[in-house]
Amino acid sequence: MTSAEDFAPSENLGRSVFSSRQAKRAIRGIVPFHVFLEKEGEPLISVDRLDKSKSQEALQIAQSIATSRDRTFYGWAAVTADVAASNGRRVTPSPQPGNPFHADIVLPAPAIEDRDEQKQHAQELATEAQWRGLDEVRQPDIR
Amino acid sequence: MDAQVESVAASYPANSSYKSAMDPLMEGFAPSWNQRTGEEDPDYESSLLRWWKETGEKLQAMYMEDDDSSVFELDVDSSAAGSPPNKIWFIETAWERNQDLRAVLEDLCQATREAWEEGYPIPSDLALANARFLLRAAFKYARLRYEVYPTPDGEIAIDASAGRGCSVLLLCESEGGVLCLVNMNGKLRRARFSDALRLPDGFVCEALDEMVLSEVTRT
Repeated sequence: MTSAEDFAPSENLGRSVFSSRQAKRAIRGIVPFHVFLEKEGEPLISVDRLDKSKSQEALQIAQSIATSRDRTFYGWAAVTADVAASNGRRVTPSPQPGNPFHADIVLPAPAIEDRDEQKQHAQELATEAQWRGLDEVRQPDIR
Repeated sequence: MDAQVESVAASYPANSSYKSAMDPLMEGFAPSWNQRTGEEDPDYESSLLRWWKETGEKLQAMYMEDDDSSVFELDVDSSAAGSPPNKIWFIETAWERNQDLRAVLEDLCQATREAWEEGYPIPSDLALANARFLLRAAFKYARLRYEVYPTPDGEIAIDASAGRGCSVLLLCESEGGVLCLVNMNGKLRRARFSDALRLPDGFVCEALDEMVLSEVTRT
């Protein structure tokens, strides 16, 4: 379930990828499920609202986060809000300092208590995800 | 060794252990390879040498398994700073010369290193062996696209996909169990197995069958 006033069903929510190996697999067509897997018991999956920001702006934020973690940003695995909010999940905006486009996918209670269930949600999100690599992001904004 | 192998070997950096370890290996293996296939495989020796070159490590063991595959164990020197602490394999059989399977087997060989570099728990030998077994079994059963990678929980994931919305995920756990997660266009199911050697069973085969059908339908 999404908050209707906050998310259009087709809005893209991007999960940042900071691993070159995960990026290569995503480019080959399979987003590894653990791109969407948080620590055990963690109900929130952090994402960026890609359609709310200009590409360059989102890219700068993601690269800034990567730098703070001593990692490299390679792109996003993006799911639509309606996919993110299916099978008992919901999405909620959660702007943060330095990232006004931040949102969370909230897992249902069983997934918080059951690691296998948590992995199944991660698998579903990864299977539905589309890769948005840097080449695509660096294209000038059309809007 | 044939001329191509000689040229690859010549390009290999000076390594005193290379000649003594590799020559008997090639002498013992190349004839049996030709007997099995009945033809030359120009890629085989060079791929072996490429692995040797990339790892640059000591050859610990080479042996034949019951299913006629060859296992080359290369043990990374754990005393060297910055090296992952576990061993990797090179595996080859006649039918594994399929390029797709070879690619994922090479990824499996790199899984320990990848886990170490990503900061994940190092997968156990049992998880790696189960993954190797299951990958070959799954590939024999259904020619799908597979990816193999370590996970933050110390598992080896075998990820089969037939495009968006459909996937079968086999997670080989360090203790020897296997978790199978199936997603068919949002319809989810899963099963847990304590013994990987009994797989693929009806549950897994049904999921792989659905994947193949899904792929056929798309095309």
